[in-house]
Amino acid sequence: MKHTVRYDDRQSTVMHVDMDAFFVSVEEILNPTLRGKPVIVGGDPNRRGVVSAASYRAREYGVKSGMSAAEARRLCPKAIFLRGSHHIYAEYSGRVMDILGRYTPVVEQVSVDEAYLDLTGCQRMHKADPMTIAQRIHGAIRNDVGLPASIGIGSSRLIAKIATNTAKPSGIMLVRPGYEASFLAPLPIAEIPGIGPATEKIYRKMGIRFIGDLLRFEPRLLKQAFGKRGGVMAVRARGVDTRSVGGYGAHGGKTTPYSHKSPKGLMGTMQGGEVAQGTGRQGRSVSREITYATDTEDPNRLRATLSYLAESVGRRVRKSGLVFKTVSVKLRHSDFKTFTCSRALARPCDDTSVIFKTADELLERLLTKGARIRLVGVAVSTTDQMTQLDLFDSQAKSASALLHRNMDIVRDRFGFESVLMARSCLHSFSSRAR
Amino acid sequence: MEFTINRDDFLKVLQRVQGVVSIKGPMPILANVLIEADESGITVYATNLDMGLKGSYGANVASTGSVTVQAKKLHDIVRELPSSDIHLKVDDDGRCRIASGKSKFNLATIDPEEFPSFPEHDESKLIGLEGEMLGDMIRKTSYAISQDETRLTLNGAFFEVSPTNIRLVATDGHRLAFVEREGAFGVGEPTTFIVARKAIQELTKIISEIDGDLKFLKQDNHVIFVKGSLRLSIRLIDGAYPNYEQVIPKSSDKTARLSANEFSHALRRVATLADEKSHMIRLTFSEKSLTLVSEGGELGEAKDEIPIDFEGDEISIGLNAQYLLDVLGILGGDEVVVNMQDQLRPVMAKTPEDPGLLCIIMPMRI
Repeated sequence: MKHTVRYDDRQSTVMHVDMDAFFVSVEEILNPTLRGKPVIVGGDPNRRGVVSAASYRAREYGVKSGMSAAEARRLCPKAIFLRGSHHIYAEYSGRVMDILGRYTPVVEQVSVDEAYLDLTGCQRMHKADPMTIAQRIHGAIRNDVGLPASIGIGSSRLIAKIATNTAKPSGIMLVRPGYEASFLAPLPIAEIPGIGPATEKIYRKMGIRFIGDLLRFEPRLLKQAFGKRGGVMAVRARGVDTRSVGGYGAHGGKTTPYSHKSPKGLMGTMQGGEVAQGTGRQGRSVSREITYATDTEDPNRLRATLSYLAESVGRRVRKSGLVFKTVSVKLRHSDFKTFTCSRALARPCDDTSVIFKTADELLERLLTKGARIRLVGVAVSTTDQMTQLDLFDSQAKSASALLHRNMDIVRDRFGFESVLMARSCLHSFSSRAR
Repeated sequence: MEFTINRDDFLKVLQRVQGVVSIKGPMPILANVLIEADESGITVYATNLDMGLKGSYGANVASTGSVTVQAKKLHDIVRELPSSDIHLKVDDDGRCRIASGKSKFNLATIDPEEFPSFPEHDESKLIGLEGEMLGDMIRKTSYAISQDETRLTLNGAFFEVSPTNIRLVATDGHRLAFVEREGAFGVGEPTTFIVARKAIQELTKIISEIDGDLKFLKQDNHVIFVKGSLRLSIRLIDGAYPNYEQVIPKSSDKTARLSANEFSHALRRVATLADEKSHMIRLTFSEKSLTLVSEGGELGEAKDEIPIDFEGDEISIGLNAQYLLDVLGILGGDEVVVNMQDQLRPVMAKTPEDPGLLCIIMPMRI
């Protein structure tokens, strides 16, 4: 794309970098004979696997990430199914993020293959305008890592993100400041992140198909129809998005900002999804859940998973310097009936063993004999309220709290599974053996 | 069984046992009161298995025997009767007939054999206590008993009786009340037990309402208090009480002396805008003054300052205003002495008028 406008350093400039068919592209590097073939990375199509990524060739058959692997095979019987090796993807992801970190200190990695960069004020340093910087990044990822990426540039996260979608595959798209609304107007409203199929349907009923249609409605009316979200959409349609890019350091991208909600099912059965709700610090919930590859009724396996999830949730709570006050457990049976149970703690704390102990008691309550379990989840609601200290806590501030804090340190260096409670190992082994 | 008793006396007796009957429990008999009549009068006993209350009263007994009837119904009947004599009789058909003037009642009964027995105890082993002193000790500590049912042992007051002194401790984990009195107690070796909050309330009642000496005896898993003709048996809370001595500060390098009255008023003023959930206010103790600050979030802030006499380095500490007000209410006296170590360690308040009384509050993280 040709550009003539020179950005000045005061203009807010956000870049969004998204790897093209990331998992598949990595697989192609490892095995070049896959190139140009319909390749699907995801779960087992014979079981209940989910498509994590599909090559562009496979997408031509209608295969999309998030759909069940069995359906994907029906659509594209010739597809080559790969189970995927996430530690390798993580390694490539880290290499990409390292490159991004060379261009600006403010890199917010939002998933394994996607990041926002704040380039505001960086142009003088690079002696280049944003388009040139984007071309350099694009080239560096292509040459140094060997992967294709798409890049969008705009005055806000929203514009950058949508620009990337327009640029795919392997393109760069820049939206000049001032042209946001006219860029958005002809695009379908589903392009705005946050408008899913359900919301889209309602908008369609109102005669709104394109983002430009939203402009004809008074923000007040949208607010009435869709609540707070509607008001936000009215503003977004004008290309305004005040969310800033959070700088969390580019290295390894280990911190995922909580405002990000990972797409449901993207990781499918392979990693379990992580969801953090709410934006305020108070009352925010941190949760993790895992869908089994095959349903289980083995209480030992459930407990092992619970322990694994507790460790994961506990680590995240401590990482954000919070304490939690409620623990909940979620069970989904093979018939998709879902049960949850929660308990408030007498005192807020950040100890993993408290999550496990409470979750284990809740599991006991939720578990009916012979029920086959499909999914297990653990959630805690956190608080950062000035906490009343406990007189006898120093005694309870036990070995266990100290242990988990030290495990955090090990994990910071060597990864989450480098150290696990013994009871979590059963989960870890059984999921690896799948 | 048959006896006649004055209505007002009987009502008082029945009122007293209402607190220890178990109306909705799994055992219907526990909703009843056991009345036994012998030549000397009647004995009335009720229990919910956690506590039992038994008293002997004068009555005109025509024939001896025993009966159990629903405690609440009997009380309601007697309450509605005019002030005169009440005649109570158990017929051969097992019904309990109550008559007063023209009013007649016929109550169902349950076999007295089924009623739990009052724990047997050796009268000669009872140990004397000063009722008035114990009542005062309870009043000064019971506010700190935990309401949190997950911390079972904290749901009661901890008694520690040794030959030369008696201690009473209560804590909910956030604050702790400790009171110690000296005296000569006939225990061979120090004895300790935990009495549940509800039982403490009953104990307070009999201490203040009944004449006579107070005595107690701990045996097995219960303790028996005797006052006059009344006996209260209490099932003790089972479990280890936390090591309270460990959290009582032994030393302190920051000591403030201030007027309890001024402190209390300043606290009330500033607490109006304290966070409604946490009640936290920030106290900054410095050489000449104490600054109290509350930050109620969106609502606003409040600040106040009072003169103090302070030794040590300046310190800012977060405390629950309500806890402080509770403590000031208990301490009484003109002057309060506050000992501190640092922001995260317990704060201790005392009054020079009662060196045996310690009020400890754990700070909040600022």
